[in-house]
Amino acid sequence: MMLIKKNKKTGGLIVFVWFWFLLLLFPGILSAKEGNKILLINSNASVGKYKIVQKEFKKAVSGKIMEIDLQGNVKKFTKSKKMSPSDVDIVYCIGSKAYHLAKTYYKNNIIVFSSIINWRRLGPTPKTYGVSNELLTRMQFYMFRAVFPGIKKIGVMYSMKYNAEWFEKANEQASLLGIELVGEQIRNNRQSIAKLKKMSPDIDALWLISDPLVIGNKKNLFNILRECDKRKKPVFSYHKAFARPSKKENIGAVLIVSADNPTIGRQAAGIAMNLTAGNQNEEKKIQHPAGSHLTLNLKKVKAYGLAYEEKALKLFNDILQ
Amino acid sequence: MQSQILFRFKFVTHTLIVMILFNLTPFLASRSEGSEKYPIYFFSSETNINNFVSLKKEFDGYLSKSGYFEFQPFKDSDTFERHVQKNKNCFMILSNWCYRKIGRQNAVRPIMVGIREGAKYQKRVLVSNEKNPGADYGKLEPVASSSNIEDTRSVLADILKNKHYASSIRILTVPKDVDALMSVGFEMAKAALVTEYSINNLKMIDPVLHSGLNLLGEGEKSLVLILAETGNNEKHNEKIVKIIKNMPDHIKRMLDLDGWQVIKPADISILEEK
Repeated sequence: MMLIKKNKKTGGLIVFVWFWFLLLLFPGILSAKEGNKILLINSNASVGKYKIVQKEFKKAVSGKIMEIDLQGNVKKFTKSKKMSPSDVDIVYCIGSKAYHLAKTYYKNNIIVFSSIINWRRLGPTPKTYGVSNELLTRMQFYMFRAVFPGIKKIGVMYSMKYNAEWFEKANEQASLLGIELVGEQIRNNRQSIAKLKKMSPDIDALWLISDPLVIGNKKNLFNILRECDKRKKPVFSYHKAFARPSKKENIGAVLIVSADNPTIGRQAAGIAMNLTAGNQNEEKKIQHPAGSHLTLNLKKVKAYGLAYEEKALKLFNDILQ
Repeated sequence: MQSQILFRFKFVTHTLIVMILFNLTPFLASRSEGSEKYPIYFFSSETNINNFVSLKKEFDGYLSKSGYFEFQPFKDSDTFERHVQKNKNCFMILSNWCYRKIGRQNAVRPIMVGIREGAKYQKRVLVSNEKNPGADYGKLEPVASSSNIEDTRSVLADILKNKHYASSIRILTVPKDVDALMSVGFEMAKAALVTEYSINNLKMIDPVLHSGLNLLGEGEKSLVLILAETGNNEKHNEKIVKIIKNMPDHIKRMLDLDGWQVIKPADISILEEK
């Protein structure tokens, strides 16, 4: 009897100990699946657009974020305490330096990137996802039509080397919105002005695209803007700085349509969250930026006597007067 | 002799001081009278208005003629609400959703409503490339919207008749309705919550993109934009109504409005229903 009682007591004690052991362990097991571990590598957080993207990304994600700022120097990373790939659920890279590092040290992890010019040259890994820097051509045409409904023929200079395929697709998109794209191929930026003079009588506006052989340098950019200004041909472009590039000269692009950086951060966050939830098959690998930032040089619009849609003005982030 | 010089010096100094004060007094008085400017706070959860700097500049330029009011736009709702709570006597221009939210914690009274395309009410619609998602709302993620997240979730709850899903669905906030529509067209989002007005614009400018969208549902009608007040501002009501009614066209356009009208009792009932 005493033996039975002793065994019952021991048994009860064992059950008690196991109960508390499991009770303490179970939340640990649960929480191991909660809380994503995100490694955020910024090529240089002091660069304005990188800082904005990082801020919006952090607001939109949940989980533990470990941040590394390379400050433009990749050696900062190699010297710093590296995170083991197994300790990271996802790597988010802002800028190309960050991406190259991620590709080297975390090639088997899921990598999300943003804020990289010409992402195709990166040679992305099979587990790379991202937001490109290239705003939808369709969005740009939409804005051209929304603001200047009378503009039908838009000239564009492009190089075969960098933008042959792009021009073909842009042409298709333009025709869907009733715009005729007049293209001139160039081999180097010394040809830009001659080509511009040639196409000028046939176009309503010039679309200045991101092509290293078209602009090439600041001097050429200014020459292109001056030529267009002489002819009162409005210039549409992709960089806000082109709207008023000089304090001394009254030249500049009329309409700038560029990618919205805060939206890029939020978009990258959405991709990261969806991937950590295991929805890799649903996620499109590389997306265009979802948001646009619009600048209008209204002073130039009025100087050229251009007819424009006043209702469209409310869409603009910046109006220069 | 010395005491005479000292006396004259003191006399001249005192006289100068009195003269200066005498000349300054009207200026000081008028500054103290004119410094009591009533704020007109602005916040719209439908963030289609992107150019706050220009909006403030133009509005302040217009309001300076009256001398009574000062315009202050806000980009985020928390800051806007804090200012409204801190300043119990103010005017506000705000969206329908925002009015209802503020109204839960403050005594707010609507005065005027904005008119857009001849209408004071608008509807938001949910569109997608998906034809029949059925109850599988996962097919609609993310939803692109230019309104703030709370407002978006509130409208989605109405449209989908599913509060639980509306509170958890992924939302991608974009600057403008047209960004939301492009996002659906080019697979950055699976659905977009936009105004009917934006859909009509898209149809005019890009009919091909428009034709690829499917209408999944409509939200309840809501007032386009509201001028409201908190506190006891009745002595200024007549002034503010006149100022808002006579708002120049270029400022109305920045707010995406054609005009304003005094709110009717029937509109107030609908507004304060929920």
